[in-house]
Amino acid sequence: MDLVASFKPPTLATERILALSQPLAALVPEGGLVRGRSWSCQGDAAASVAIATVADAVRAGSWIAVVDAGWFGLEAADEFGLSLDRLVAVQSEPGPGGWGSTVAAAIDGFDIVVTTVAPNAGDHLLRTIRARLQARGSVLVDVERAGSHRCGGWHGDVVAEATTIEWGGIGTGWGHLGSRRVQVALCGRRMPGRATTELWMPDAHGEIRPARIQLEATAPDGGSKEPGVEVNTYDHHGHDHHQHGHVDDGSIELAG
Amino acid sequence: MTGIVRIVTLWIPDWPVVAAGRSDQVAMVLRANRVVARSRGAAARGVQRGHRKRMAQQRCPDVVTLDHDPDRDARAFEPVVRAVAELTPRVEVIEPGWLCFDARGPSRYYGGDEAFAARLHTAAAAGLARAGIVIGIGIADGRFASSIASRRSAADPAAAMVIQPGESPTWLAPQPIGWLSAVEAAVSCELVELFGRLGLTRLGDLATLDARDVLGRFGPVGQHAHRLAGGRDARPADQRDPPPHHRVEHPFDEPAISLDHVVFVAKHLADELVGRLAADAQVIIRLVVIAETEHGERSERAWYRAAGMTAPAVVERVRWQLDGWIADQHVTAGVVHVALVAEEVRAGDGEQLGLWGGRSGADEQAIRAVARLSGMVGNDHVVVPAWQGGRQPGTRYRWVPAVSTDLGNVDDTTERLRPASSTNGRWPGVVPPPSPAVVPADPVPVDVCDAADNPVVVSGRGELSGAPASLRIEQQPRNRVVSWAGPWPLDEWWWDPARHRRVARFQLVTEHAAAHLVFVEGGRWWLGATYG
Repeated sequence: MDLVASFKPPTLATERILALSQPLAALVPEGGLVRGRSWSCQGDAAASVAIATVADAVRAGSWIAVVDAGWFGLEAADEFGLSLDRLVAVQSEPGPGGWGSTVAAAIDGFDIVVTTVAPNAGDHLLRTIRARLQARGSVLVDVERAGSHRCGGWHGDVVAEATTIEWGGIGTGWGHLGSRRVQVALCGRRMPGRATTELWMPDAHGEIRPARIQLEATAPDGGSKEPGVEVNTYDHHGHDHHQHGHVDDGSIELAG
Repeated sequence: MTGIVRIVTLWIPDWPVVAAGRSDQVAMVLRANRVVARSRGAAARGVQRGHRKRMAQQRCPDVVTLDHDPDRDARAFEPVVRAVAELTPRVEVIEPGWLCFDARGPSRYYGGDEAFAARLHTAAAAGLARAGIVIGIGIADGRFASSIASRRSAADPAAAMVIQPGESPTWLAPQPIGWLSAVEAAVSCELVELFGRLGLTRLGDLATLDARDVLGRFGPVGQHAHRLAGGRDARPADQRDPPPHHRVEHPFDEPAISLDHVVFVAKHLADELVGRLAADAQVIIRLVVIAETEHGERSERAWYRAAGMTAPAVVERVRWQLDGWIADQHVTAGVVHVALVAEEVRAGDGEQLGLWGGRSGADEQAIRAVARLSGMVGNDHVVVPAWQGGRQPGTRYRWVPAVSTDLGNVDDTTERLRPASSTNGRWPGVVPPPSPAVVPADPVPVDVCDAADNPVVVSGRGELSGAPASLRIEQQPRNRVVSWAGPWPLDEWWWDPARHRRVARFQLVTEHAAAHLVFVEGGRWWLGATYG
């Protein structure tokens, strides 16, 4: 490969991407969180997948605003590796104008905004928000809550449907919640189809890892499905048999 | 003409553990829930830097956990610095555990690089006054190669690593590109990852590219990385005295006998110096801190930080330098003079850093947004987390108004989020992780019934009237419970009748694999949190 020739002045594509944690990044064509886009998280594990989506970007230096999300579990966020030192929570004023102007101001100042899109938000407001996301290059993560109305006019560029398959470590009157397998499906107008995977969220060690990856490349016009690619099965409780590879000072292991 | 200076680097791996005096135990130091340093014993058991706390404890359940304490690190390093300073006029500290200096003079004096390295090792070990600490020493042209050499040396305890004069570029070429972010603070992990994704996996790969292309594609940071990779450290050869306006000083009217007083003055000096340089769009890379006492005792030390120093960073280094100096009773009188000299500066490229999500740009924007939002919704509605500690979900942190904190200040933020107690970080009676992601502000009333549809009752001794079989949350339909665990009793504030709480906690998993944390108090059931 002629490296020298491949280096001419900028394409700028990669400056527009924030870090996205690995099991999810493998499913997204760009391999990261594209600035200016919106994500919608649905399903009973919506909150966890939202945290998992943004954790790496925040750890890499982005600031995150959590708007009207009093339910946001800080301990869980901390355990998923989200740096709490760059997190600010905002409560908007009640009433129709409140959420809209608060989110708009949050987008201006923060790379990442996590919220639940107000059910009564009008089309004009939603368009304004989208435009501001693009202009500022922020990412909006909408978390749909069980039991709440969702906003009909809002569609995330990427939709993450997260459904818990099962919990490990707990029985009938013994143990405690230890590990969880979640099925995550990514689709939406910015996805070239529907990509489904199973993740440990978390596994017995507290990490988010793939349980099994299956890529179904469904063409938008309903074309032929390609066979799934199966990678790395782990045993029932998420213990694997290899040394855990952690990136350590630039992948270098020193002074063993 | 830019000459490459021959630099010797001394590096002690996992310094925070050594500073805490735990290097011969199985111990680790955590910052923000991640391992930043671990002892050899812990490493042998599988604890790696970068591991989350829980992962490390899984690998090694009896590992001693310590919180990161930069002051302790700096104070403990002082004796080593002083011991090394006897061999050379000017020592430059990059961070506790890592120092470097010009090798040419000392090497000649002590009969060559290898002989000098041995002498340095002896001196440093004597300064440590403790046996069995690994000390890595590297000698090479340029700071970058020297730093990498010192890491390599630490991995091979017997020998210092000496790269012959002129050999740095050749020696660097096959090294993995990850070294750039590992030893050079100005180069981010993201940039190195990007290099990797683009096929540049060795320093030599990057070095062979054309400098102009690299500058155009990656900006000044990339250009800096490119120079380092080629062994051409960007250090000016001329050692002229810095211009007068790079120096600030303060003569004390009365000798200052408390460290706090000196630090207070230093804070103002630092603000002024950093401000002056910022007006010229420059940041301090190498700072010299000078302090003199009434009896003529003098402390002069150089501090180096490739990423540049903010005013708080300058004050921090003043405190580190003088704390050890004063505490170890090397002074017999009060301080009468303090000076800060910005010996080396470089163009501050905050704008460019911002493109890579660099800290300074993003911090500023967030702080401005916080001010604006506080104006819109009120100070009390724009909040940040502060550690308070608690056993129930949602009580480990409380919220404080963002405007009451200094969001851009790393020390302030670390203080705000650091667990105050050091009970190994684990409160007794806490439900083990994973923690729930959805914690309602107020508990929601629920019904938990047994198989006969009777509410489950928990006695004072923790006996259940029946196994939980169904859960109904507010107005939602009743769900079958397929797994459960508990009761985990909690008896808090028993000495205070007004605050006394006796609750029994349970985890319930419903037929739809939804998991909740519920508790019963005074005969009534509540939803504490949902594992959403």
